[in-house]
Amino acid sequence: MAFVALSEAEKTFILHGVEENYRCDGRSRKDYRPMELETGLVSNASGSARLRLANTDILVGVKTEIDVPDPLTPEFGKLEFFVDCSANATPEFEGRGGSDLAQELILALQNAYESPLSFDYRTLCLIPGQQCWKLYIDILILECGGNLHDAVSLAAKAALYNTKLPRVTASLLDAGITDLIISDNPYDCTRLEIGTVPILVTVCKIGDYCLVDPSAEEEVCSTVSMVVAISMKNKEAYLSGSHMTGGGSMHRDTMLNSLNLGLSIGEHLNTHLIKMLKQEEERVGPKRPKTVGFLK
Amino acid sequence: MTDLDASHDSQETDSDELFCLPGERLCRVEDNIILGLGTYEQNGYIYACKSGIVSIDDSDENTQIVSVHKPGFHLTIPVTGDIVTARVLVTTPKFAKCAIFCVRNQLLENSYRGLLRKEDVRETEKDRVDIYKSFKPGDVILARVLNQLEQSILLSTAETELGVVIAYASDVRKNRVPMIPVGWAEMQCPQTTIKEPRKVAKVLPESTIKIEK
Amino acid sequence: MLKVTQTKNALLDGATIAEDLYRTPNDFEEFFQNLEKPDEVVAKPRTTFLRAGVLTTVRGSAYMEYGNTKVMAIVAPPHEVVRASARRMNMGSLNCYVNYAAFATGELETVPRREKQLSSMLTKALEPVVCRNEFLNFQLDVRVLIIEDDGCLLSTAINCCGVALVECGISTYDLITASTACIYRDHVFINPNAMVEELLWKHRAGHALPSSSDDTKPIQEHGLLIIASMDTFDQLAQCQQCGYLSPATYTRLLDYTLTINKGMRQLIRQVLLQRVKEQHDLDLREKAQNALEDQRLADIIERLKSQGLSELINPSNIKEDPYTSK
Repeated sequence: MAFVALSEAEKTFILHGVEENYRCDGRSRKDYRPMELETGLVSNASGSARLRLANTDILVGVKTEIDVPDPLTPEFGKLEFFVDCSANATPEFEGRGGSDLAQELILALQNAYESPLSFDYRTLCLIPGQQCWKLYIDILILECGGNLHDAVSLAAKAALYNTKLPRVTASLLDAGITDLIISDNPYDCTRLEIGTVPILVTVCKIGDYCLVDPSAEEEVCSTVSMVVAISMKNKEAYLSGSHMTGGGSMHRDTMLNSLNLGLSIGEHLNTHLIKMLKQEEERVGPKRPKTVGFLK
Repeated sequence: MTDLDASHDSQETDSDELFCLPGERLCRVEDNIILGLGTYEQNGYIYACKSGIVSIDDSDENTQIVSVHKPGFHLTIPVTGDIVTARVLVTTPKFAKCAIFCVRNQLLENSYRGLLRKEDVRETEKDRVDIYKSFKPGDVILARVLNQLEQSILLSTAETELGVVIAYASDVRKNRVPMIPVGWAEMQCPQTTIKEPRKVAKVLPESTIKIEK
Repeated sequence: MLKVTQTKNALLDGATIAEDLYRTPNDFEEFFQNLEKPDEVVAKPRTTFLRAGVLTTVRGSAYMEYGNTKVMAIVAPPHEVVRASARRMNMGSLNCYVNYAAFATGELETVPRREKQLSSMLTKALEPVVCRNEFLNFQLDVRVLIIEDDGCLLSTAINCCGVALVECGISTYDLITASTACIYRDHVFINPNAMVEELLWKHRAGHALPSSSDDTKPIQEHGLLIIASMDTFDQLAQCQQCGYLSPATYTRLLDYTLTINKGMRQLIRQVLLQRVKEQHDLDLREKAQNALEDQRLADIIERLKSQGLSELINPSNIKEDPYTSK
């Protein structure tokens, strides 16, 4: 992640704070930093969301395209992720510096969305075996303040919620070829079901304790963290992908503990996110209020 | 560490050696036990971090060194304080670039990049050092490792015993003869009697050089 | 508004690839029926061939056959970093490169993507085991060549790299072992072969999906778990999971893989111990030869000493080539 130079004394201070369950910014080990979420602010994309988690700033745009489904999964649409670590986030990302991190984020997201149980690819189907939607989820990292995995996945989920697919009607032509008619009315659209869409929770191990939502400083202190993808199905939390990162190792029990911590946190986070998204939509309605400059 | 190797050699004739693999617990950490090569400490115990033969040697009267010696290929990386042998590749007004090919008495398989800055050439009168008057490309030098930089290893010859050991006069003949040191800052070709400035390492006793003259 | 580009349907176009075992969902169904499914879970490694030091050109090399999966790992001594970066934090950096041999896999299209993916996962798995503080500001390159892919690729690569690292004399905190287990349609596959792994990737349990109407039906879990462990301290170096698993199933698969890892560790230990002994014998033989040579040189030095120092520093002795003297 973003590199922050910390002295040994500063690291010890953070470590002691974590042990006391009282972190530098006053949070406990299981608390998230304040989050700001906005949806539908990019007019050229089918869906978009901007998430600001303390200093981490993510902008996600969803674009759509019509594609041919895989012959093996004729009823499935397609998803593709792209992460851009812009050099604005940290000077380190200049040139090809951010490509490793971007690659890691893409892999984590792909892995989490891989299972059809976590994302119902059938909703992206137009004509089974012939035409389907392909969604490009473009993630732009505007500022890097730690905990990118969580922020990126939350923003992606919000953007998918915001995504409006134009209604499509098909007419059958000769030789099995179909013609698609796409509705011109921008309000005549379908939405995606995001109940089971996974979110990533990073459980970070500092000293002997596990905590969630590490800040950039805390990430430097941590030896290892576990990224857990949580998907809610029938009101139960399932793992839709997980991996360890950070160059350290964990005991089996620690790993299972952090997995469970991730699951319970993810469950809460998920319900809150969905609640907030619904609230925002109700408040804003179909039209966006006039604001100048989305970064405020 | 170097005398450890020597004492180890004598022990190796024993037939029943203790072999170990990385992660094996060797012994408990105690006051009179020092961690040697190929070991690390964790939770009050000493573990091996290399595969090889365990050896316990006496460092002095009541302390012992536990180390693991790997037979066959021995990995050597220059660390701060090591004496290395290097060949000068490029000289510029500010620094000389060298290729390190020998660390202590270990010949390396692939050379490491070394950097000898102008201010690290000599101990005294550092500001009057001229790289061109101290080294020429092709010279073999002895140097001490100061630090590891990102791209290369920083070297120093600021000791009497360090500096050029083998150098050739810069003439165009085919069969060149190594020059002989004729002072702390000069070397001479025995055939052409050309004298060239160098930062000479004092390998031989000074008295013998005088006899040479 | 959106524009639609009419793309031809691959199915109706009649394009066929002979290698594919199944092309339509129905083919696949049949294929799965015929697939050999294990009756009970046997948490044991596959038949394995492992040898350290297979190449003479590189110092650390290892070759491993895990069932039909064949992998070679190469570790070269650390060298100076090529690209400077501030992220290093007092540690040497570790880079892994995974390459498929051209004949390793039938499907060539996804190879570059898979290579990249495997490289990054392998790096993550090996980072905890290497004592990276021993080569500050240096980078260690680990290269893996995949000769044949029959499942458990990443875990085999981790095992093989672990052996190659020890062979090269790179300090490691422990021996690293890894294994794979997966679950698909209520069948647990230990050390899944390429066919089972492909089922998971390609088909993605499409037909295990309940129709959206009946949410009451239990969810069919599916997923793959790769665990790399270091047994001295009971540490997990990496746990990579994909698919859709409940925490209980996760733990179950985890324990299977840990059991396999224990078996694997025995084997790796055996191979490495033998290798150390072998090299030790070679060393002794070389030492005996060197002793003879040393004796000869000692005699010369003795003679020089008795003849005085003037003999020693005579210019004629410094000359490298006796034929150049006039």
